[in-house]
Amino acid sequence: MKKWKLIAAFCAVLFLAACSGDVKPREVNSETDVCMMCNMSVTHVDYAAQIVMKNGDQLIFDDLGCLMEYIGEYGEADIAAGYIKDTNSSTWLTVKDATYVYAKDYWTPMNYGVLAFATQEEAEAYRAAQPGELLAYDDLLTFNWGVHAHE
Amino acid sequence: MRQFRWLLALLLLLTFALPVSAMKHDHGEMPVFKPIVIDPDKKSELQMQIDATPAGGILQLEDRVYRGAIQITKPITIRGVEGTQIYSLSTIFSIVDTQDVTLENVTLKADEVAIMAKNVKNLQLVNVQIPDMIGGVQIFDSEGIILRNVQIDGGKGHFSTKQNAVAIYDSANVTLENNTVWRVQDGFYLERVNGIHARGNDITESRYGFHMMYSDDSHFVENEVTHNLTGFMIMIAKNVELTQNTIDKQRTLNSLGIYLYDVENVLVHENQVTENTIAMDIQDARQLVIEHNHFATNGTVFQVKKSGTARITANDFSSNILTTRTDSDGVVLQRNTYDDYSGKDFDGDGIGDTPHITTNAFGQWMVRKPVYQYFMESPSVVTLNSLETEVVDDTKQIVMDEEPLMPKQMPLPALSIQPIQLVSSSLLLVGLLIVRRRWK
Repeated sequence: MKKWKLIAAFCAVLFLAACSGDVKPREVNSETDVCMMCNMSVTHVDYAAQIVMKNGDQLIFDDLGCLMEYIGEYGEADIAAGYIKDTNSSTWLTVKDATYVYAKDYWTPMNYGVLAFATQEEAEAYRAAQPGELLAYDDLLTFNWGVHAHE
Repeated sequence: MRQFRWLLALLLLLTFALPVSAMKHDHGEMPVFKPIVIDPDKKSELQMQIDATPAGGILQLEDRVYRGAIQITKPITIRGVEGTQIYSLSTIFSIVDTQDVTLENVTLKADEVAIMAKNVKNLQLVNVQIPDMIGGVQIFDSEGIILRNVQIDGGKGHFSTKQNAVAIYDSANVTLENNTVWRVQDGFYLERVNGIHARGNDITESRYGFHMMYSDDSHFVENEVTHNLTGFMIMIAKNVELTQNTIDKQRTLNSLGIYLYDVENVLVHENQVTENTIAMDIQDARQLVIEHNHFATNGTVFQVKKSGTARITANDFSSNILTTRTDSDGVVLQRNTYDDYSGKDFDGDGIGDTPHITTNAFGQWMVRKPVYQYFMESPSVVTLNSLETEVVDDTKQIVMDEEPLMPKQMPLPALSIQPIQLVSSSLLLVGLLIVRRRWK
């Protein structure tokens, strides 16, 4: 009887672990991933962004602008977390915690030219070397994505 | 023992003698690239020849290998002959702040970019070959660019590990004619380039054949894009014309024949669009006309989003799994020919008497789960499709062609007998029967 209790407890632990909803970004596969919004293949992984949905789905974007376009179109209600690659280290940062610089002449896959940094100091250091406009996450929600380069 | 010594001496002799003769007869392939050390203070022989040529002059190169990184800052024509090759450990040609530069009949091999041009007016690259490309051609802030008979091969490997063959930024009046590009990331990457005329180019086994962004006034005529991830990737562009192109076999995961994203005033006509996973993916298109094209053997022909005014007319659809998948905006289908149209034309005006519904539930499922194709003509699926076309109560939610053209009657092939084939086949059959009887 004790043995069955142990097995039941072990199964319960496994079930709970499976349902824990651990939100983590996945690595981008440059050979097969395509952007959820613009359909471009994500070959430049250093500019990639991603959204983890509350149901566990992971959506990949080739450029921060495409991620923000998704949020603008579908809202944030079903999103567990959003991630963007750090310009300096190429590691994932959560979009709400990162600091941004809009560098008009900096090439990104969709030419939106917005770069993410882990800290404000790093963003300022970038701006000290080349021109750019400092942005926070809330600024991205009203940023003029996509059309500025075509005018 | 003495015999073995002679044999050993002979082998050593051959070891030293063979490579020289082997390199001379390399069956037309590029010779083995030998790294060289460049003294930055010492100009290469070719650079000195260029410096000695007067502005606007012609420099004729010989049938041999030249080495070095070359700077061009004046009008000049550099003309090679068959066998003229230029190697460099860095960018071969840097053409900067000048005009009227022509480069003809050369084969380039660089460890970085083969040709980089910036702020050049009237640049011509003719009969230039770049085998085993690493960096290709990059052009910035230039005007009046002509690339004719340029051949570029990116070598083995996945496209995500490679560079674009030709990348042009912030430029105007670009002519691309009869170029051949193979195994690169993007065949032609055009960003903020206005006035593109691309004709007779052939792009194969790359990520995108043509990748155009933020560019206006472009014409793509008689190009052939096959076996790429996507044939034409046209994003954020105005005034685009695609005519008489062959867009074939873009059929891997996520493959598209033509992709239009945020475009305005686009004409797609008289193209052959065959064997693609999705023939055309359209998002946010305004003033789009698709007419007189032939769409055959594609998975889905049109996948359309936010493009309700797109007008699709006088096209021919045959052997595609699904004709349209759209959002609630739909598209305008008018007077197209569908091989799966089952209506009648009792008044004989060439237009079907009943509308043709171009989407169906099972087709949608087949797109999502290709294995469902095995059930395509099963009685249950045929019944389901019939019900779907006959029992329609809300036509607003369905994409349909109100005036489908009747399919043309295909002439029956004439019966003919080939006497040689008949006799040989008969003899083979009789022979097999005899063998079989004797075998018993």
